[in-house]
Amino acid sequence: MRIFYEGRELPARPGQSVAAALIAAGIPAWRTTRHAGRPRGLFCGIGSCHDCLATIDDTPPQRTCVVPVRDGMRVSSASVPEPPGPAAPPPGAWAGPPPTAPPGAEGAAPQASAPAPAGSRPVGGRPPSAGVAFAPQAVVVGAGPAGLGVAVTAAERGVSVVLLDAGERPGGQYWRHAADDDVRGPFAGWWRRLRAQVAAGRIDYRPGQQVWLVTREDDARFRVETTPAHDGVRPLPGPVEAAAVVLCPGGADRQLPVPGWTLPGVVAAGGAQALLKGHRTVAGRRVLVAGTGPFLLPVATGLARAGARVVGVWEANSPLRWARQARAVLPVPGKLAEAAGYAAALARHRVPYRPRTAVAEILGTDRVRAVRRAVVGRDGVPRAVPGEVEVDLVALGWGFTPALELPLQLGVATRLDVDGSLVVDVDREQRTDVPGVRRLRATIRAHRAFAAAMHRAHPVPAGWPRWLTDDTLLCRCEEVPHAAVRAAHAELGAADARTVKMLTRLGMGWCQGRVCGFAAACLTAALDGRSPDEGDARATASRPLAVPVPLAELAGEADDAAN
Amino acid sequence: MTSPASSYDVIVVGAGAVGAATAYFAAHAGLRVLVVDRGPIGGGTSSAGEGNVLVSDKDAGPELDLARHSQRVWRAELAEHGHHWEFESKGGLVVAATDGSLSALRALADRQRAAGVRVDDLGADELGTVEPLLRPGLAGGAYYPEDAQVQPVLLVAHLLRLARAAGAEVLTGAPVTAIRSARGRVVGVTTPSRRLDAPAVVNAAGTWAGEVAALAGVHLPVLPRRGFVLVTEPLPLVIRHKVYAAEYVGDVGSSDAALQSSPVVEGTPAGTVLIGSTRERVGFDRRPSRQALALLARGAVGLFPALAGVRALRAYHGFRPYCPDHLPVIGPDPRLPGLWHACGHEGAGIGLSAGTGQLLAQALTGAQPTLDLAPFAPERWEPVA
Repeated sequence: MRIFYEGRELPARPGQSVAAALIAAGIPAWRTTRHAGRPRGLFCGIGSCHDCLATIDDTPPQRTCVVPVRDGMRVSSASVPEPPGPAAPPPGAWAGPPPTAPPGAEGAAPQASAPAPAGSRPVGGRPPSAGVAFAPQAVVVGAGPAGLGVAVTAAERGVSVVLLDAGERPGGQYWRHAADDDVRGPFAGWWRRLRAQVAAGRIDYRPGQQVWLVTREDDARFRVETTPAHDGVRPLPGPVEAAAVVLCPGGADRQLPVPGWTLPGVVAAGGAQALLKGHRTVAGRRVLVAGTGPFLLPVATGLARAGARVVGVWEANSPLRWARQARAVLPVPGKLAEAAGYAAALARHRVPYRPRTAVAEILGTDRVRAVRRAVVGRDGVPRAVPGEVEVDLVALGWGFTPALELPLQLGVATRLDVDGSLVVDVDREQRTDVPGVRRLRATIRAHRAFAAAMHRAHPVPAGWPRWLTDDTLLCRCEEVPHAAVRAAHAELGAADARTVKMLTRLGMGWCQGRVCGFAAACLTAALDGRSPDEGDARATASRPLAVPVPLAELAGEADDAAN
Repeated sequence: MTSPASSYDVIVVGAGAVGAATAYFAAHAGLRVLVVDRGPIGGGTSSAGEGNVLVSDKDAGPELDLARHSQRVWRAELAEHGHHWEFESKGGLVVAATDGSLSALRALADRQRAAGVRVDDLGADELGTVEPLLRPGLAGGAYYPEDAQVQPVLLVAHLLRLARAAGAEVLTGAPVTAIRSARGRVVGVTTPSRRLDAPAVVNAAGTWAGEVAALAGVHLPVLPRRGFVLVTEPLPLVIRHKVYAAEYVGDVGSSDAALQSSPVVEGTPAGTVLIGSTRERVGFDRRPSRQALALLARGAVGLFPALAGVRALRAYHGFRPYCPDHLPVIGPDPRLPGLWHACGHEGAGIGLSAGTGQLLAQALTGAQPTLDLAPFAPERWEPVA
């Protein structure tokens, strides 16, 4: 298989993402930014940040980390998209005064006429609303460990389920695998059970579908709207309506800005892992894995096993912090064994593990060349250490932040978790304060105490903003520097994250604050001399559109609106 | 912000565009001004619109007079600061799809011209040269060179910065819990932590102005009218003007509570395209509305078919302060001397803020306002005795 990048032929493997194929061919960047014209490539690696956009076969820019390669595909830089050319209006588009009859009535309205699939049942004894294409008893969003488990278990008890997932294959980030992997372990069992339920007609599994909106229609119905994850996936014929919605949308690496973090070759730890597990692509030869949390260990050992020289794991905290969390750790002995396994693997590959160490600066012009180190004191303040460490890949992760846009669309209550991330407030049974909405992540019940312990053992260093320079970009998408945020506070009176966003455009770009939201909340609160609150966290977490949606798809919904 | 004194000439309740403009002009007129807001600066309706500075959408009458007066203030008194809030005199293009709506547009333009507005009538064949991506087959349009745009939160922040430089103070996160009066006159306001004294209190609380008026014991029929805006992915500059359908003017003037939508589409300096407009009276419902977003998208693609494949990145909504006669409330309240109002501008508050603030500052200092405020009188809904 081959693809063409700017006319140059590159090898590719079936199932590989376009980004993986570019990186494997030694191309670290394929986009330049709007304002400063700086090079960008893959960052988050899981479809969240949109830094890896490229024009593929003349479509509007798409996320190369999400699009699988197709033979002969043409990929080009997405630096300055061509203006869209004039075209004929789609049927049913605005053509005059607000009509008294539904505008879609005179034209084709495929969404409105799509039949519900066989096996779907009316919700709560009521027929589904007009335009609805799927009416199962439950709709599950996300096919990672939590969503897969819920969907399969419910279906095995006779519940009809529609399972929606943005990924190409089930498993989510946790059980991410390559297309031709021989899947083993617990995931293999779940997948087999998924196949059985799909074959039995109880699960309608729809990969490659992203949910952009969840609404509550009435006491008995939720409605879920989807859009294809990329141009290679056909849109569903209409939305899903169900009495129960289970939201398992997962999360993404949490990030802290650091000078140089926008250079090609700096990726999220989860992005490096996704390239490796999902596409068997090692993103660099000399690698540094840095940040905090146990996730750094599998990333480092995975890269080392795949042949990269891992020059270090820089963990901002001390593992001794875990000693204080014994009560939460001992009930889950598997975690201790897991940690011991990683320690052995690091030793085997001679990977130095440096506690209380963070990246102070990333150096390079058009790609990463080296990093500078800081020692993190007990007070959480980083102090730069002279010298440089040469690397060509930096994988950064500061724990995880949950994807909250869908629960927030439903207006569920939230709170700040132990680690400072915004989370949904659920009860012991994972119920939210909105009846019918449950939220699941992989960590539940006994594991909750472990998760809290992990957060306490791996906090973000309190003094992290000290490594920022005036021109460090906080918002990668809109290229908003640290100095602009400081000025918004000092000169314009912005004292909260939402006002900073409105004044600087931080969080208003492609990723809608997914990457910078946590850091912006921390930083704004610090400038104002207080701790971040829920309002700061919500400033960039509320997204009426959970993912970008083409206007033509949104417009199709007007047919239903007219009914 | 600064630690407040306790006594002022005027306390402005509300740190939105109207409150900020009032503070700016009052401070520059030499008054000691305090702005109080229960939230952050510009956090209400000012942060939820498109920054319209329009004459095109107003029929001849008091609101158009205020819009034209505001145009002079934007382009004279405030001109030197315009770059801070991205003032852009981009021009507005109103298009009509049918001969019927075109003749209504021509009649509107005639009335506006008679009131002094600059309007160029455009034939169907001229639309494409003004906006190349407009769909073919429209009946005609009208071009309004005075229509402009600002970035409203930058506007608020910089007006308040300039007001502070002229001696004003700004107190955020401070809800006004009482408007105090003595011997039938306003003497100040109370917040949870402070008593603040002033012989004049300006109610610039926007959509929440009815609640503030109630604190003073007077009735003001300001209600929320919800509107959504869609924002696209960044594009090269493809839409140069504010482009909207002739039906928009009718929707703005309508009092219907049901969801209405007429397309308003424009490019921005950030590269995104803003898509309005919907209006509906549903109280303060903050949940996303699938129907509203769909109508916005349909309207935009109807005007600009090339936008069909363009992705919407985000959407936001705001609550416009709506009065039953669609006119703002500006001036002293005879029912309680010392109480003033500057609110109820519905969807035009950003554009009208400059004129409103300047006129109110004139009145506060005892001068004769340049424009007669009688049509905006706060007591106009009181039964005639």
